[in-house]
Amino acid sequence: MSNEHSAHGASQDHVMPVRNYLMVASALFVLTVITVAVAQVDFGAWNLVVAMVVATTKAVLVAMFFMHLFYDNKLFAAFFTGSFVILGIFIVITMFDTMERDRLYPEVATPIREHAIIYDDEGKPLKQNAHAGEGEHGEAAEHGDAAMEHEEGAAAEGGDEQGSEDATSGGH
Amino acid sequence: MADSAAHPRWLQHHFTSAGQQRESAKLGMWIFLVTEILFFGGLFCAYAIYHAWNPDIFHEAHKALDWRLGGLNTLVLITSSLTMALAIRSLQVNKAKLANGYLWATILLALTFMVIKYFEYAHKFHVGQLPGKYYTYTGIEGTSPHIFFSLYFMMTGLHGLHVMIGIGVILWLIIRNRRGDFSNAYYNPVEMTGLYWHLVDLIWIYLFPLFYLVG
Repeated sequence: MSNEHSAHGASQDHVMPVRNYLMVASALFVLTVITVAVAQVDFGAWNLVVAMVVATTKAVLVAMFFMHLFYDNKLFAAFFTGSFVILGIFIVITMFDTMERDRLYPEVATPIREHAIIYDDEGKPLKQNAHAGEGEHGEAAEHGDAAMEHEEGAAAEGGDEQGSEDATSGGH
Repeated sequence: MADSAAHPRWLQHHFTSAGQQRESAKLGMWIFLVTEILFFGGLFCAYAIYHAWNPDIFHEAHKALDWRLGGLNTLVLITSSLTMALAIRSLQVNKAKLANGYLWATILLALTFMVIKYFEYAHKFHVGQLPGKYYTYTGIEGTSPHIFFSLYFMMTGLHGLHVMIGIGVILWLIIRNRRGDFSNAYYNPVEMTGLYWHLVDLIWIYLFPLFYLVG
């Protein structure tokens, strides 16, 4: 594109006609109306996909013309696209982890801190943790690491945290 | 420093030409924008996780947001992106005065965005649709609608902060432009601010459907 003339230094950036800016803005307006209109129809799980496709179309228009990526050095576009690739990896792998974790072993609530209170679906503290919360604060905190190791072992076996907690706090 | 045609005042001494200076500035700005995307990306990832865990809550809670106000704000922000782009174009064709007009228009639209946002926030504060433990609203079914509002306030709040910073930077551009700092030979600060401003617009383009439409 304009690589050859931007490389020569003093020459100007590509100047886009005002009409083109207005056309891009109109397209963005129309797409905004479309995304609102489409949201009134229920596509089930596809709602999110449709909304993201329209949003990404808008984002590409903004980046290519308002941000001049279409005319500028392609290195900038590569950086910009690269950030979305990295963000995609970040989100996809996180989603695999958080959604599929319980296929490996039944998920067991394991407090990171010994006295953390974990709530159930009704918003009530889970019994075992409520019990842990009552205990001897100062002393047990020092042995937090030891307690966590015990609990990790218990979680892998699929439960019996109560026993391991009693064992650790009973030791002091 | 002598201001000659061969080496104008705005050309930093370590660059051989205006073109090289502009390309370097743009590269630096794009790398900054990449960090901004990853910065917001963490919150988008949090949104993805909590949405996947609580799809029903998100669906119920998103009805508490007014898509008309969100849609209006989308149009306001797109228009402000247009005026920002036209400000840069005006400098490219050496119309500094026109550029200032467009910059003022951009600030006005940004303030409009913030005023609409203020009305939305004020309403939510009033009815108690607040993050975490401050959540007192009772009109939404489900166990933890406050999660939706935690993300809503965090993400739109961070975005709003970016709009405020943008307003400040554009004001600085107006002052510099009035001083005669910019022409078609040199308008790097305006162009870099433009890139920042378009990114702020771009993030809102995603925030709007995620919070107001899909939920």
